[in-house]
Amino acid sequence: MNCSEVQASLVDLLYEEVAAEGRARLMAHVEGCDQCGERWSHLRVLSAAADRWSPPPLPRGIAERAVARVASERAREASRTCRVSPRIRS
Amino acid sequence: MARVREGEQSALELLFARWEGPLFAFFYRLGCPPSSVEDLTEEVLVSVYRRRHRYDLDRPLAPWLFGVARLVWKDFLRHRGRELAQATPLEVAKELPSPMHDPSELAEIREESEAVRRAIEELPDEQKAAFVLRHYHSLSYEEVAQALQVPLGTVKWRIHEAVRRLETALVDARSEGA
Repeated sequence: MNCSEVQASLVDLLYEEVAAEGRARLMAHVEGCDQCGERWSHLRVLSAAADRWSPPPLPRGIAERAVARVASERAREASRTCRVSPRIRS
Repeated sequence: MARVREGEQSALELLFARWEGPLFAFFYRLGCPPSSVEDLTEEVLVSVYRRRHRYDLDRPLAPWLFGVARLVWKDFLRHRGRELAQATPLEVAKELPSPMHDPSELAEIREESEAVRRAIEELPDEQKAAFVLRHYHSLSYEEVAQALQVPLGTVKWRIHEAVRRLETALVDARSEGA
């Protein structure tokens, strides 16, 4: 494996998209190559920095409002069914 | 999801409670205006219910559900205009590094995190969606492709390109801080 092949695979390695055998070969190269080792280290710093971006606390009531909307849709559907049924029978 | 299809109320409540957080975080990180993030999250949950019969029970739920989120997001962008999708000032990362770091190292870590966050916000929409789904929601490339309805190679390219841009931002932040 040469450096350009390794460099092209490091993002996939970071995101666990490389099969076990390929992963072992990549890591062996990374550990013995300053340039690829530096990029790998850089990618891990980047990943950790991205991890520190947290969303704000989840506001309360989103799921409850969605459940209420679904309930209201179900009620409307049920009411339509009731209105239509007598006509179907006649 | 099977129980939701059968109309079981408690299953619906569980499903919505399970996914409101990830969906909220998804829209937040896509840079949707804070005032719209809640509404978009709610809209996806209701859409998931409306589309429940289209979901293939043999397939993983997350890619399908984020696929619904993507449709709601696209619809939002179309109707509300691009200017609304621009991020308003967002809070700085809350998770601080361990207190083991010294103050100057801590400041450097903060600056790097901030630079990466800004760079994520500035990614083109499609790259941002792919990156957010992979990095923050742990979808595989294949699952991201399902969610975004694009070929696997496209997803791979978008994620590589997104990471390349973030790397550049990180290098710039380091050189400015040096």
